[in-house]
Amino acid sequence: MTFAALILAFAGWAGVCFSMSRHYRQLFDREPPVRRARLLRLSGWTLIGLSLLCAVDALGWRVGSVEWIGLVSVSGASFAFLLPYWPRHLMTPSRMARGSRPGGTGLLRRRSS
Amino acid sequence: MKGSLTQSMAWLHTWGGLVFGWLLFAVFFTGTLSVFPIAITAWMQPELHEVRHASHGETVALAVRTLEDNARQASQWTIRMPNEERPLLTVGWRTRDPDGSTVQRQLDPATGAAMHPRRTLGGGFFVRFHFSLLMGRTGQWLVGAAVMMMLVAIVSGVIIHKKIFKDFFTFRPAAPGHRAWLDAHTLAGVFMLPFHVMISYTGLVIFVFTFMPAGIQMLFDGDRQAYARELRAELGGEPTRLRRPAAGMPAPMVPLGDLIERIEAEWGLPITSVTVDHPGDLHATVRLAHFSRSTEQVFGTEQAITLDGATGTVLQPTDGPQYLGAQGVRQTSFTLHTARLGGIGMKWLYFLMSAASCVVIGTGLVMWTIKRRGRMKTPADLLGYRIVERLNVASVAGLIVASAAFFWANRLIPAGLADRAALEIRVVMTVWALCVVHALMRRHAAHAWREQLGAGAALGLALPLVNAWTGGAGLPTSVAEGRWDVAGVDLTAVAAALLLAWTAWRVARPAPAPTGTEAPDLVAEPADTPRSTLPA
Repeated sequence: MTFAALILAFAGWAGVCFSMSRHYRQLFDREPPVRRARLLRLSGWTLIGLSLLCAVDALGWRVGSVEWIGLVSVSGASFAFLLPYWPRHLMTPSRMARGSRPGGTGLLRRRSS
Repeated sequence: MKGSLTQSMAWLHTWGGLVFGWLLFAVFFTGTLSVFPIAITAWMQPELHEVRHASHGETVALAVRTLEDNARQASQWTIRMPNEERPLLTVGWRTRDPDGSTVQRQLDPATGAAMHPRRTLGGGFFVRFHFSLLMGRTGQWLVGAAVMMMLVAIVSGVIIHKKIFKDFFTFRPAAPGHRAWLDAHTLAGVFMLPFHVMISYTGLVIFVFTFMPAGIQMLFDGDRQAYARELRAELGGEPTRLRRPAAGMPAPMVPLGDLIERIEAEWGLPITSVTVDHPGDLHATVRLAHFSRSTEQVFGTEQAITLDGATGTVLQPTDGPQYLGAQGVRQTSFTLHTARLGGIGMKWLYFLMSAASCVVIGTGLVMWTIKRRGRMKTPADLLGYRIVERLNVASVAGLIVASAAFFWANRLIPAGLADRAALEIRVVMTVWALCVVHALMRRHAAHAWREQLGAGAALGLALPLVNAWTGGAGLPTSVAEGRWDVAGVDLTAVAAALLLAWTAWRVARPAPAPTGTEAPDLVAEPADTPRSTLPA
């Protein structure tokens, strides 16, 4: 059950991260539309909130809340550390469908550095 | 350190972090390993890798039989049942000699054979080093000072981090100069902020009587026990254990096995520890206890009952310790600090977060040198720079090598040697000292980094082989038989070794900026405003 909380928090951080224009640009090479950014941020924090419920459900409030703080930290840091190494074409299904274009399928860090 | 708040905080963060960084890295690195001291000790006693669990009833019968056969004349018996932390059944007795010497036997619960695992501090070595540097009170004060500096660094770090939200996810490993290191430093620092505050603060609270001895010194003349007694009496918490003097008249006892069985049936819980005062006496007193800690509890609870050994009547039904008020705060701090709550998942989270703290401290130390590379004008400055650079290598990579050497020493020093536990520690200190010498002797710090990280990787990578070849349960065996404590050490060693190898490879790669101490720095910026030149 706490593994589910970890996954939820990880996904939540992804949402929060890509709601920021700097990281949205890493994916799509353009500014995020305002509504999409808001949606990403909202769903990101919602998922992180759900992971708290998940942890509390598994371990109770006293221990669950402590574990939640830990797994939010670990999932967030591991997401951010892995982000530059993530193959870019895996993160954007639409790009995969369109087929690659020059410079489009490299690792994220090529763009971000 | 003139100027704005940010500038003075940056100065404090930089220099305080440098002075205490070496010590802090050692404290956090050994602290990371201290999350799993029991598994490390288990790994380090290969004599016990074959020990299997027996059923609870058989183990109780074995304990009772051993005591009745060997210690009829004893003044006290003790039994500690095996649990996931200790695979062996421990029985002990106190003889009726005037000096009351005690005998303790560790038995294989399945076969009853007396086991003599090799003497080693095991995981306790890392725990002791973590809080006292193996230097007693002096070491505790040193660690305490470093941890105070950690709290200062946390607060000053937050103040000087200008774009904490904007840079929340920013990590550019390929960026030139110190920026990649800075990204890693702030990223791990910010995400682990709750952990850093919690672990530093609780670490100080645990040793509150060391760091703030005035109260007990003045009111109890420094007698901590007297303080504890009065506290108990005032709070009405833990009841004192019932003690009866021996009657001096022999009397047949109700069979101990029957008593245990009766109480277990009443409670529906297994008895985990037994104490019998004056076995075979009219006033034989039997105390049975069940200790448990579920994953949802913050404290473990002990349920105990005291019975008359001759008649089997209940003398004192007792409850476990109660933690009230400030005592509860301290106990909670201890539980939080040592990851004694939740299950194995929590322990791994602590391990990862603590490892991330090592990353924060290590990258901080490295950054100090990278930002000053090639900017030392006078020979004295350059010498100081080089010493810092080399001490960084020895305190980070060198400690990792020395810790890996501890595991090797544990297996290569003969098991029967008398003072082998001390010898193991001497190996660690010798290897660490050699790492300091090596770091100082190499022409380029980058070479020292690469070689020591590489050595650490090699030692870690080969550890499962050493384990299998020197009598331990090798990976295939330990995984197949579910000995995850032993397998966990092997697998963690390999994972850590791969990370070290990757780091060594990164260090060895031609860097975007020229390496070497005399090379000019590509990033020219004032040293005390570390975040001023980052792109928005």
